[in-house]
Amino acid sequence: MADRRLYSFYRGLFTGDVLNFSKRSPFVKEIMFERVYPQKIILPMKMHSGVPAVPVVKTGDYVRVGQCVGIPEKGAFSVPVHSGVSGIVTDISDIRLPNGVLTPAVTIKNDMKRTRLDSVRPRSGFKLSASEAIGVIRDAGICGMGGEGLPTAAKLKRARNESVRDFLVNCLQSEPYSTSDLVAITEYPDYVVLGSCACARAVGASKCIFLISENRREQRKALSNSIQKIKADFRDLEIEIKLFRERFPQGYYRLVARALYGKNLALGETLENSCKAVLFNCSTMLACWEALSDNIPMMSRIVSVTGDASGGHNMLVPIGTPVSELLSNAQDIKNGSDSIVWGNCLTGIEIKDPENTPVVKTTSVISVVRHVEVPRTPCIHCGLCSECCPMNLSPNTIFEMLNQGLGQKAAEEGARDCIACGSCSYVCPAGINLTTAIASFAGEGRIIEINSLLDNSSAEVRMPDDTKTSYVGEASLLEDYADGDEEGDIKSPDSITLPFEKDKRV
Amino acid sequence: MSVEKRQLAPFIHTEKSAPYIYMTFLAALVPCVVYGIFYYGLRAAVLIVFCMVTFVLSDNLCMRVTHRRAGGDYFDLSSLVEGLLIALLLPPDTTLITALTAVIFASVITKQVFGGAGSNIVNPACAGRLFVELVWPMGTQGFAYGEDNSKFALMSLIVQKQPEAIPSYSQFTIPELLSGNYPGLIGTACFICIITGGLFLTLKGTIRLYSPISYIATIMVLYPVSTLIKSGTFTFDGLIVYMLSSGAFFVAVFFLGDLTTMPSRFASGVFAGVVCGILTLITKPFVSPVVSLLAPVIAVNFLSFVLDFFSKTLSRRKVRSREVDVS
Repeated sequence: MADRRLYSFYRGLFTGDVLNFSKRSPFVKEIMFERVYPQKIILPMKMHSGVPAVPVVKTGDYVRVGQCVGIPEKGAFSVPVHSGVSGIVTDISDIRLPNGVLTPAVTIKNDMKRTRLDSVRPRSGFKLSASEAIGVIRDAGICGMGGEGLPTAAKLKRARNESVRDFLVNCLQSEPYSTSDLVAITEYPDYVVLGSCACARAVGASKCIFLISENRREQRKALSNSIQKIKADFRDLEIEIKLFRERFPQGYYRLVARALYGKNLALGETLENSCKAVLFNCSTMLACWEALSDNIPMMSRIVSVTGDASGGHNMLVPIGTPVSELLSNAQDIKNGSDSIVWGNCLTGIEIKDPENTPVVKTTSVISVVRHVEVPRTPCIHCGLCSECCPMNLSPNTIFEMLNQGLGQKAAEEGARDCIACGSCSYVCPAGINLTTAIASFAGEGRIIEINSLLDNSSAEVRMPDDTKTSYVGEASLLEDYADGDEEGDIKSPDSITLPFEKDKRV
Repeated sequence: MSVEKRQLAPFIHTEKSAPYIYMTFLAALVPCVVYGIFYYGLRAAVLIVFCMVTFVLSDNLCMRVTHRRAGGDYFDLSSLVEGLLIALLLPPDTTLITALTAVIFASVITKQVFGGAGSNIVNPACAGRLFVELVWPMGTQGFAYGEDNSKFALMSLIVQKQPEAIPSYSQFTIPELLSGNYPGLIGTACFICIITGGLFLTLKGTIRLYSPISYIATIMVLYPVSTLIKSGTFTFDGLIVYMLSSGAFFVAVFFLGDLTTMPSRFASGVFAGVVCGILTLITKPFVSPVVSLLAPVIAVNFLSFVLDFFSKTLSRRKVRSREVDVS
């Protein structure tokens, strides 16, 4: 089971430093769990990496829980969108998300009846081939819930084509205050483990490895118990728990590759290709198992409402719930100067209009942060930013180069490797916002939203002709993501079955 | 969606701001200040206050002349730290004019010419003290001790006294050396005070330990080698006396642990500490103790950027091989 070795990359922020907000507020990182039924939901058609889905409902239509309201265009790299409430569609219009993405959105007024679609019920028979399982995951509209937003089915398919050996499940949640993934593990450990093992079998991996922080004893115990329970059903899989040191940012695939395999991945290299491994978030695996076993599409998720000006709790909310609905249930925003942040407080985006800003599939945390004036001084060249940069850059040098217009030099210094984690700005004693400047430069020519750890480096070369400019960077998996499934593969008598039989195909 | 100007991430910030770092340095130097005033009396207190005030005035004057900062949104504590460090490196019977020379050289030439706080290449306090030692060696030999060490004497601040020969430090006992009960510079004598300050800075996280530890270790390892070259015998005799009386610990903690002027990476930091230690031992027989202590610090300050660059390049394995025309 869990070995004693502790894995980590060098540098980064020690969470003892990051999470120690006790001097700013008496915040306790508590995990409370509650369900929220909002008055209305706003469902953006683009909550993932890829092109937006197309709304298939009209104003005035009645939708039920689990009903698909947006479908991907044929052949497009996209995922469907489902409603998490029942009610009337009141509006379909374009909205701009805080990250700048302009997308059509369907607004549904909740009738509070929770009328469910008949198809949303436990699957009978439960015998799926790998392709069918991936198809179910695709139709459920599941995308990376850790912030990456890549369609999970496409990623699974790529992993299967690359014949990955290790199936990694990211249970590390190192962002300050954020605990939504930890709640997913605590509340639904069986679902997380079953989803991971089923997906691992679907991609043909031989090992399923759960990556978890050394400090998360409760979650480790829950995972271990679940693994013990299902071990007999997955004899072909070697299931392991690997302990990581508590650091930020932990969980980005290049850092995981460095910590686990000792490999420094260059920009554009993938974990699948270089390390024969694939990395998924534990909340994504939970959603996958819900889709596989109960036929539940991705229509709700756990969100942490937290921050030093907030109570600190987690909620299970339908996707599309306005942020204001989350905050109304808690003792949040004590005074007007507090910032509401869409995302975690190191990399998130401040929102000014919480009534019309929805929780999307990649939103794991809404932070309410007390505004603190940082004393701004000239750079004192202390080097603390380079000391903590997880990508081993020298942010102060790069920042000065960019200020002087030396973009080429900055690129030679490795500026393109920036993952926008916010560590350098956090530690800078001079209060210089290094991250924004460097991440903006790193994002030129590829989509890199300031709040995301998304690396879309291979975008430019693989941009399909029919995608618009604003969606470049999200097509790296398009080659293996044809609309419709491989019919022949499903019908083949040698196709693999889930979850009880190993791949028999010769 | 609102398009008004929004605050950018990150929304939280470490408490270690620049004034905080300088504040911790001031706090770490308090034990040395208290001990210096306790042991040397009023003249040490006057010297300390004089150096700090003149350093602040000189810095502000320079900034006003060069119009570098119009508003002055924060009080630059770095001036206080540098002024204090210069004072602690002076002998107690130093005249104010000598101290002023050191302060002006440090403030104007090594700090403000390069752009002010944080932009200096070498440590201003170290450079200022070294400057007066080199250009005015007689002015920095005022070590009154024993019965001559009156705690209320102030004349030595105005009139330069005849330098007195310092007795050999080997005649002092280890407790005396540990507690600083021997003639020396104002702040560098008391080992216990220096280590207390060092521990405080370590706990606060405003010091890098790579260079100080490697520096001290290098001196401890290579000191017997230097005695071998000097006297032909390999002995550890005198090592402890040298370590405690030379001010090596003061240099290690407050100069080599500095965030601004020393390398920021592990490998380069260790290398700088080792080079500094070796240079100290090499120059020790030929120059005055203060020069052998401070000149190597200046040397590694100059080297720190280059060391950091190579450390980073090597760590990324981006060493470019030159194309050699073999034909």
